[in-house]
Amino acid sequence: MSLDGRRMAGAGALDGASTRPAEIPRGTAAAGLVARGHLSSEDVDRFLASHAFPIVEGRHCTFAFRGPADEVRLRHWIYGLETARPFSRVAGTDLWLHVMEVPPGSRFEYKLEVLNGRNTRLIEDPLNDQRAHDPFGANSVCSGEGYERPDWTLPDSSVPEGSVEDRIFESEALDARRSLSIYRPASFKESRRYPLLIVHDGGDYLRYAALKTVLDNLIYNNEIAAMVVVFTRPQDRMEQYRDSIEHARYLAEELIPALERELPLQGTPAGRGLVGASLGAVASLSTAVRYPGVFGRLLLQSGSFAFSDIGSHDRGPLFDPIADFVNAYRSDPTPVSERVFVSCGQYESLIYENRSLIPVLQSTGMDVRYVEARDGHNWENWRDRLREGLSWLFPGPLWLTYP
Amino acid sequence: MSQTARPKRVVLLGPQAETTTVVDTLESLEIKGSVGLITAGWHDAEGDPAQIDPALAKRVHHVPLYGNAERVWKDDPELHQGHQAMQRAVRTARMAYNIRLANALNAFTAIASVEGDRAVVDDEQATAFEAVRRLDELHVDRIASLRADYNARFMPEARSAVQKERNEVARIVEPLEAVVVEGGHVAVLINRMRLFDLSSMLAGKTVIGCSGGAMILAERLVLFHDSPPQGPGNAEVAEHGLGLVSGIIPLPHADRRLRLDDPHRVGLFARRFDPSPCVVLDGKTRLIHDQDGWHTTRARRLTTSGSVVAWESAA
Repeated sequence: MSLDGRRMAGAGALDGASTRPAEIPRGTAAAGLVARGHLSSEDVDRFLASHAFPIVEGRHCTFAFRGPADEVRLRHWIYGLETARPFSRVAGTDLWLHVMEVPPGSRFEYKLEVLNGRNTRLIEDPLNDQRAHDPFGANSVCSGEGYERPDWTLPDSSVPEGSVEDRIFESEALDARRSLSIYRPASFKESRRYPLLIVHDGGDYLRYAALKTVLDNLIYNNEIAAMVVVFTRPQDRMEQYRDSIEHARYLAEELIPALERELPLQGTPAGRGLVGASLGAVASLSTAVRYPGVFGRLLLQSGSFAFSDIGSHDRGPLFDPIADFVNAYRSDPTPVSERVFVSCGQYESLIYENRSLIPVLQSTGMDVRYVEARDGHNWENWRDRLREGLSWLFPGPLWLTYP
Repeated sequence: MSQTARPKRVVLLGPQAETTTVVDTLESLEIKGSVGLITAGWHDAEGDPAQIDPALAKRVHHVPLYGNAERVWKDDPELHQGHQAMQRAVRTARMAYNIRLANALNAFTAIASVEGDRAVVDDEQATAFEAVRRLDELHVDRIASLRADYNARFMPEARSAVQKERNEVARIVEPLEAVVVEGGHVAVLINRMRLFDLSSMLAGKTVIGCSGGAMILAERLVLFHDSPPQGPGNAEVAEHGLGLVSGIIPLPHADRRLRLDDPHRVGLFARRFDPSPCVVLDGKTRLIHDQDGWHTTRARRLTTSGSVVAWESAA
């Protein structure tokens, strides 16, 4: 997936975050260490061994790096803060510290940039085991006070697993073969009728957002309806996800009819949903716009909804087709679905575009729900919003079921 | 149901998925005769042997209600349509009730922070709380009225498709000494039990309700979840239960579905249904009601002061 949402410039989005580097607030473990004056190598050893990093103390998060360096910087994807936040070396040691304020419940990803002579390395934080993965590799994760990974995103041995079947689909519209995976819930029966959810970047949702585990758990707990989910995989998402007529035709005229012929699906607008994040959200909305009334449920996460109907977008020419689409929709918004769930992270550059889209969607009379999280443009943010989104779009029989 | 048609005893158990207590209960009650098993709350998985405790499966007779109801719908489309229309009306009434309930509960909460004479504020809050309880009563009456309209119009008990299946169910149930009612989808379960008038068939027998099966045996069917993925998590009164036991609100899965460590929510829940005890049904709880009253094992109840205590100590 591209870094289309991971821009590093602009006005402050992380409310309350310190922009002054290297200040060590009183009362923190780091301040206590520095106040001791001369520190031996053993003192540093003990300090590092006695804390989990980053040290989270209320709003303060202390990052540490130990080793030879001319400079150390914290590189993050928090839109609005300077992209590289410098560490300070503790006098007489090879220990580098950086303290920043992080609002409660926040979560963000980062790397350390270590400069040594002409050598610059961008590394995962060696003192922090928390990692988030995406198609480009892994990042270290800072979880602010109060953030906990939701238990429904974790595998549970007591929960029966649904099945995932890999398929190849021949598309005339795309003039290509597409790989996809079909999820059937553990309780699947041919005699029932299921909603159908089509997921853009399905392989990434499975791998990085634990979507199969999420589905297993939420269905088992009756929080969402038992559903069939198709994970699609693009060949060239930068092409197909930018308001592509061929992509929309592939989903609406080829894939949906084929699936509804083969599987016990409800086959109604309320029983069809599209999911996408970033460019995938653009593909979801643009497909729904091209085929109004077909998809009654949309889940749009951190959509790259660039527009240029006032001023210009500054995301480069690759985004021109998206801006054309969004401009047109903003100019003449129409109801294309029934329920639309939109989420976005407060620390991502796309927050403005997503917030701007909400009144446009609402003006059409569609039922729109919008949520924000103190998180960035990443898969774990999208993962953590799935319960709220899916349970609203496809509610399960939670209130009536007591097994 | 008439007073003379009561079961011999009613047993309420918690969820059976992790701790199976039905077989032990049958043995402790010295039930030697045939035992029936109702699993209509499992929808089309009714009777699925994979979901039944093997020790229980050895000695029970399946009492098919879901499948029989499906045959009724197929044989009598007019009744099916009438039933679906009634269910749609119930859902609509439930939505309206929930809107009113949320506002009534919000009013109750908001009044607490009104500044002024404390005694006046307390009186106002008590009035607001009575409005919540009154709303619960009105909703139960409303659902009962919708059901009565349906029964008067379609007279399901007089229709041949229902009589045929009911006779089949009665043939199975008649020789049973005890009937176990498993949980699942409580609306599906209670609708099927009503369709075939199970209440009258259970007279003189031991009836064992597990989890949702226990809920529908009570006078009131109360739905609850403090932390749902959507909405404020206000407990709601769904409708009358079958009323085979009175004066109790069974709460299976309470440890998971309720914030039992939140005194405000616990106290509010208990006050809404006071004086009926709201009783936690966990895996090892056993409540037996017979002619001598209640006999409880490992029973806990919510108190109006917000704590969770052993039922005996609070009785």
